Amino acid sequence: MNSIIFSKNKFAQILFSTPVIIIYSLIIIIPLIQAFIMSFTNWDGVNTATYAGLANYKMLFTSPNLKVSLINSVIYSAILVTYQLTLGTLFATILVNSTIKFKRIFKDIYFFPVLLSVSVVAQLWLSIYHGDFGLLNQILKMLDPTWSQNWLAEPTKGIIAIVLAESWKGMGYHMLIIYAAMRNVPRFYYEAATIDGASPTQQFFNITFPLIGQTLKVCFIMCVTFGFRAFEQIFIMTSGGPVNYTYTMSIMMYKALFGLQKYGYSNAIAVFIVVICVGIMLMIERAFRNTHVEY
Amino acid sequence: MKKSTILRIFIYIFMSIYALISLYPIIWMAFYSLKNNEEIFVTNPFGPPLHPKFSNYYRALTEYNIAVFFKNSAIVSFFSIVLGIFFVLLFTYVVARVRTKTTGVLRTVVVMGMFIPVQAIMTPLVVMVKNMKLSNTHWSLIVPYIALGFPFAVIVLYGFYVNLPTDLEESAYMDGSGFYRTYFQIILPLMKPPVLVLVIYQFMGNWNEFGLALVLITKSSLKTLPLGLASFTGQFSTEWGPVGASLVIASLPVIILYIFFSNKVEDAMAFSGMKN
Repeated sequence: MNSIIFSKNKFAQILFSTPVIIIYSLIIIIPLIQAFIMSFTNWDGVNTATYAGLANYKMLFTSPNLKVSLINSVIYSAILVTYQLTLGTLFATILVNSTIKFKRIFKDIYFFPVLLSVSVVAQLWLSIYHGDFGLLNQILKMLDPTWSQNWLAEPTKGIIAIVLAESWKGMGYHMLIIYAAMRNVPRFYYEAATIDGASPTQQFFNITFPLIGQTLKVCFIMCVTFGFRAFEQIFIMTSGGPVNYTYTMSIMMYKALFGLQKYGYSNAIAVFIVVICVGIMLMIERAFRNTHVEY
Repeated sequence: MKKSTILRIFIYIFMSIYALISLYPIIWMAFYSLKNNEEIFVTNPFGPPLHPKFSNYYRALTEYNIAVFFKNSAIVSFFSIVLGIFFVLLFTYVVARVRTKTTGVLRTVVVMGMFIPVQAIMTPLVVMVKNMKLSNTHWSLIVPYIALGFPFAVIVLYGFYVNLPTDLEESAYMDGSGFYRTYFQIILPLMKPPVLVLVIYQFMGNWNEFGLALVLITKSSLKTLPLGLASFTGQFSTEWGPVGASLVIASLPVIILYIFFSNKVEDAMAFSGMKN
């Protein structure tokens, strides 16, 4: 299977593969190793780093912000999964199977928020949630003036408000991934099932669902791990505040890096984020292991 | 009425309500980008602008520095996409055509990069950019964006190369066309469809990227659009019109691209679902 064109041109092999190898090592591999090593040191970015053992990890696990961050991440993940995957699967199913009109327009409209930058979405939702003049409060004031409030300023409500904006932005992304997978299921499975007398509901659970299982797993992993590394939307909308109500581990990391100038500590947080995300990924892989189907 | 008719009506209502939720905030933003504060807050919060203030857009470009941020975003996106995809085209060709243990490992290692949260490499990158004196150039963003684009690009291009019959390049090579000529004149033109998918997908990503830009760019004259817009929080909170105009200007390039290439975006999404 090896191409003759390369076997006679060893130099070309090296020339062609070198740029990616160098850049990838420089930007991904080496920093990854550095992050791990630096997490065991004390360093302010200027003076010489000193070995610190597990002190940074100890600081992380005793930090009062960690508990808040983890709870917020669980809320974040749960809402992302419920909102994006439930609605995404539902809309994808309707767009693929139903005979309604204007499908293309619906699909484009649902995907539209995905095209916006996280900064645009954050600024837009800041103005929607604005305590005095926000769209949400303007609408609520028409119904009952006492309902209007400063949505981002309170514990729990703040993080929910942020993750709803995040979900609003990302739903179309997951919908389109699921939609693309559903369209790849060969039509004749459904035709055969219809002849055998299977109802649409049965067809969904016995044909569609198993065949797009792998795709749903990927989306599920993306949504759950996203909650544990959520950063951008939160950073722009509240910077973790007020107090630490909307903290996540990524916010802790950013503050360690640019606020406290503790490079070792920020790397320890980064390592912990990676461990959690990889752990979640492996757990989900295991849970989905037996569902893999190929007809 | 038949049961299926009721179901259809229910589906239409449900789909329309979500369409409103999905689209109205964006329309509301476009509306207020043309209003003054009084109209946004009091006289006309919901509807289209009654006295469109196009001066908001002029002010966004000048006073709010949007023209500068736009230029930076364009430079960073352009170079990271062109260089990144070119490098991956070459790399993946080797990996797809020379099947040895080494190339197999190389491919796996690059694809695995997809699962690494960007936070993991942030701190070392900040240090590296500072040490290499790249802080005051666009390269401090271009090079990381190039690398972050690798995993997805390798997945997409590998599939295409593997399905490309080798007869074509081998007969051209036998006929005396040199290696490089064979690659650049025969193989590369065949890769146009996946390359277009990648260009669009990565443009959507790079144009809107915020996290790395936040930690790697310190000079305000080098800020990209997402970074520039984020700094409006607080600073310009008093006047909503020009801020709205800035948000609209920043969003237009990706929206226009989507309008022309929406089916390519769909192809990219099909690949995203097969990440393992």
